[in-house]
Amino acid sequence: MFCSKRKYVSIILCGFILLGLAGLCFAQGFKEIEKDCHEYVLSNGMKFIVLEREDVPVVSFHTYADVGSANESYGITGISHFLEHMAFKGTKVVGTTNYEAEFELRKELDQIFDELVHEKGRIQPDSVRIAELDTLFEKTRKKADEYVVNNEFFDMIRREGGSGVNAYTSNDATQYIVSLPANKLEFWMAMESDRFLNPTFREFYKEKDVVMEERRLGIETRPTGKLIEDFFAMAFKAHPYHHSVIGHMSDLRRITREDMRNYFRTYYGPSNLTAAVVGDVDADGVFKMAETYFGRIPTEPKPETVRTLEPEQWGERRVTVEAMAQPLLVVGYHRPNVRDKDDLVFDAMANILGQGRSSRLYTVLVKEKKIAAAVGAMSAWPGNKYDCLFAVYAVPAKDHTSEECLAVIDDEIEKLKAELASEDEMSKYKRSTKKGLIDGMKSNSSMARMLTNYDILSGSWRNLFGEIDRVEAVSAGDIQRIAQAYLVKKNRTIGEIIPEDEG
Amino acid sequence: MRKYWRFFRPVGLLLLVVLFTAGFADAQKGPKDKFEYPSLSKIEMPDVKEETLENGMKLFLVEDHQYPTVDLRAMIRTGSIYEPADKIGLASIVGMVLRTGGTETMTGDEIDELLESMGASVETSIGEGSGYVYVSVLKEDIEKGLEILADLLMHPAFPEDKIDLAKMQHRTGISRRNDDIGSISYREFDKIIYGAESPYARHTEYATIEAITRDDMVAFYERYFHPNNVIFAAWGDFKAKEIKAKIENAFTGWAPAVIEFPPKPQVEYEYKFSVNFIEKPDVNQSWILMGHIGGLKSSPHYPALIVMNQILSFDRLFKRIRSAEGLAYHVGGAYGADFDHPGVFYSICQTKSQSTVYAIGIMLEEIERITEEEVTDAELAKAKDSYLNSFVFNFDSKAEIVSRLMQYAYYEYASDFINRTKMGVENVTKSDVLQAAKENLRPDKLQILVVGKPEDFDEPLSVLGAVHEIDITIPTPEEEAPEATPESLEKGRALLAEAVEAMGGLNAFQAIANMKFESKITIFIPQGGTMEATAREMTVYPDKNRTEISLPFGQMIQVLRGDQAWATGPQGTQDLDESQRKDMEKSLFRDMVLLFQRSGDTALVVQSLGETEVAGKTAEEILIKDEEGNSVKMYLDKETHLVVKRDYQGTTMRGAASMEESLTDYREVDGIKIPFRSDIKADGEPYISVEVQEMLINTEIDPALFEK
Repeated sequence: MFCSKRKYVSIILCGFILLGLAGLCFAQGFKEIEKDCHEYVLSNGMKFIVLEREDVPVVSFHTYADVGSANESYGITGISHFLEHMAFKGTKVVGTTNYEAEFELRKELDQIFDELVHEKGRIQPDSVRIAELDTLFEKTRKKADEYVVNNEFFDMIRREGGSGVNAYTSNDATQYIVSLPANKLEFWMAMESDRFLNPTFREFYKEKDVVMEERRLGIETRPTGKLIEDFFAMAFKAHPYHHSVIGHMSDLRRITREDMRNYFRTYYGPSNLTAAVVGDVDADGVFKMAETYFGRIPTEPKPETVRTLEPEQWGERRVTVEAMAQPLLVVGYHRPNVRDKDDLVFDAMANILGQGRSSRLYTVLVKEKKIAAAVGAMSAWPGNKYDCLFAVYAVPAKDHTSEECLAVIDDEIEKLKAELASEDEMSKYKRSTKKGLIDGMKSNSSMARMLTNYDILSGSWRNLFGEIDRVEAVSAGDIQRIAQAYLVKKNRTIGEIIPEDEG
Repeated sequence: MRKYWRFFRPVGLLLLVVLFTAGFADAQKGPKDKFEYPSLSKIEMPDVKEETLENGMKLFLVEDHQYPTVDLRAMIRTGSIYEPADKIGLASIVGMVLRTGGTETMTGDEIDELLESMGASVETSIGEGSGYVYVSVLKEDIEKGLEILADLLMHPAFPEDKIDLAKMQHRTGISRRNDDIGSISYREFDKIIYGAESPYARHTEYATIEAITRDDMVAFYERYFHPNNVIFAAWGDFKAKEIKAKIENAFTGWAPAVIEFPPKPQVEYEYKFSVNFIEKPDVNQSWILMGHIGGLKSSPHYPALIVMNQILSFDRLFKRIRSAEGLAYHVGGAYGADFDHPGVFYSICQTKSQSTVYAIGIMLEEIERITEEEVTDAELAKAKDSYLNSFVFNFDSKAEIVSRLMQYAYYEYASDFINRTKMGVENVTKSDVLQAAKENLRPDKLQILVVGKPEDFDEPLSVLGAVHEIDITIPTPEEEAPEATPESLEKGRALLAEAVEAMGGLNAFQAIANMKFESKITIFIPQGGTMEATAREMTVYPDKNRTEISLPFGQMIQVLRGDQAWATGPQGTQDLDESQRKDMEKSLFRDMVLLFQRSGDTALVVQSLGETEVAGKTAEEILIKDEEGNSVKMYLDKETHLVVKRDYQGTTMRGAASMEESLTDYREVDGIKIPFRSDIKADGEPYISVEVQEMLINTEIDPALFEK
């Protein structure tokens, strides 16, 4: 067919020239969307962002609580995620047949639990007393459960046509999502506002068991899960990115309902909540209704920000996990948070180094040397609200080792410091980022997610629409500069899975 | 209209109005109050253009001018279900290298560069029952994207380098397949349901990847990749007419062809209860799967089964196992219904080791209960409402709408199948649910799989029934032989000649027309213990073999006659399938008589691999291969020149395995030295031992024994 080598070059050049034009096009399109986007802050401080899109009669909701596992301290690790589970357990009216009776029994239950913890913690625990308390605890729990309407919150939403009902907790945030037919706006308002106005933390102890199963599923039975947990514990000695989102088993066992109430009070005040509503709705109507429903939530002071900062690293760190598994390599370098002026430069560096088949690491490790089956680079990990890591990983090919991969990664990192990235590489980064932004705006739910995330993390949702201009401004010199500043051995942590029989 | 209105209203005023009116607003409703739902605006169905090009290519096109992009999917009628059993992975590697290997005029790496510089993607892959193409570009790049796609589909290069890369990635995947308990569980459960050899469950091994050649790939590609075998769906910022012309133009010169499809694999399922177990000593949580074969989407029960599954998996199992008992984070299941072959009905959960059997008990109870009594009105209403109220989400993107139409066309389902299903769900009654559950679920014949650490289980799995333990050891790849040199080949020949001489001489071997053995065999059972049997084997050279094995439960006979093979057992006579017949043919290749008769044949490659040790004695190792890819390694005693051991790839009841066979107790029969004892190991574990009782050469063998 067409392609002589020369033609190939001209296509690249042509693509490069078009890029400027295309940039203009996007910017124009984004302005159009931005016009349909509105914000409103309720009198109690909760912010709503609405994007009107009429083409299909559906609407996506995204509630962003600005709290994640990074807000946790020792003793309550995992509480943010556990709280997310409890947010599906209903309220004073949803999930119960008799709230008052249930409430009394739960008070008893919490007292027994406290006594149990106290007894078990003694130097010489009284095993007879523990057994008595255990029996009493189970009995009381069963009595309280008689008033519970199992899973009613979830069922009510599903029944109204809820789609993608879910929530996720990260190191930085807790996010609740659902999409509904557009005529169910008020139903959502009633449910979601009730959820944060009248939480009851029902079935607290059973749900602990569920969370512990989740920990076993995600971390304890998975070699990669174990590695990632230990990797962050090694990379962050002070900052709470140190511990995993799911939390330590011992903390999960000991967290009390009182802990959760306090945590909720601190972090779920309206000034710490942001909601995005995207779909076939009218912004004014949403704002008005939001004031009616969410405006009821009493104002709470904005919580204090995380105090502990990660100090400077004093030397390269290494962590290994021995497992019945094949090797895996992760390398992470400390970097500043998302609000740093170089945030997008890290994105560009990750793209050039390890995203896509023509990226440098994929080309050398996978295509040429064939010593890795897969590689990748992550710009910010495990979150980006606080100072975090720039990371690369490699999956060594059969009969090859992490060491071999690391040597090549080191070479490539030195090249980043020594030479400027090519124009092709820069255009590749810019073009793929823009394409990704457009693709992300297509669905209501992902748009709702982007709006809340940009608003909280960058200070305004409007920055989403200005992202393209900032992407355009990233230069090859910037990449070289941050590579020299951050990608140094002293600043890094290496994590490896070591196959057990060979370790 | 309303936007116009807001346009003239200052924002400050807006806020004031909102705050002011808040006081007068309707009182809030509680979540359980009655809501008046305004009627939902009508779903505007996009205009889908259906076209068939002259070359037979089918197109579904939808214009969507909201974003400046164009997306394209295609399905190609092919799939791993059509690849041969000894080359599993062929379809997948063709799908990978089709893209990574580039075309006759542009390398895959150049295509990577070009696409990524446009922020575009063009991907190809081949799955179980179809091939896929995926293109996503900014609208101004659509011509370029199509040009690349057409070039890839019409003129793929399949270079060796990228084939090696794909094979490396597959081998790496094989080496890692037991790292994760979840992937073990799903993979082995599929094999339990469909059978380990079924194209719907089988998986790659080092040997099947190794067996794939570039010629195989080209042949596979040439068989299926024709325009009349492709269905496209495209949506995005284009004019339907223009994109049709562009597609037509890009694929100019691609001629349709008549394609002969192999028959689709049959799913033959026998309902039975079974308890299967895989030990994973490094976990503290068990994976539990249970189920049996499922059905087809075209079944009249399909809508009722959707409702049934909603109640069983997401209501009852979820509520009991997760919410009420706190036994699992993830619990669920599905009544699997596929378009063209039965899916799998299953329930699943993961629970701490200590509650394994307890959780299984609850799952069994709930599956049984739904087949015995009607669901409640509330359960039925909830399940139907959640399906019907969320139905609109099947239409919330054009991509979804047009991809679904493509899929229906591919599987020859009605284009309004989804609406028919919806109508079906609307009409489902409690008795329909019970009826569907009764007819499609067999709670007494569930197959259970548990993966976990048995020491920590609350009760042994044997309380459920006889436990079948599955060994998931990965068969090791055959070691690569060192490169042959003229010297090693010459020496190999000489060693083989010495062995022939030591064991009776070429003339004596060439005089053998047939052979008959009687022997006692010991079979080692994987779960422990052994089974004794007697065997009689007759070989009429060059291509007939009959083996009779008498087991406690009856006699098994296997016959190979040229290109025919069959087996007779207590259930009657059945033809062996092609892969089994090939296995028998292969075992003839390593028959020492045949091999020695052929020892002068130049088509055989005989390579010396040097000295090694067998049972404490020095032995010469030789590798013998033929043109058809058969091979065997022989170890010749340094002093006696007798064959003391041989290694080869064989098949056991559990699939492909590396066999090692020690040959001892040599005795002379009619001037030929014959090993009277052989001990065979499969993948390092004892498999079968054979003690010859009687041995006859050139005896009378009734030709009728080789008739069906």
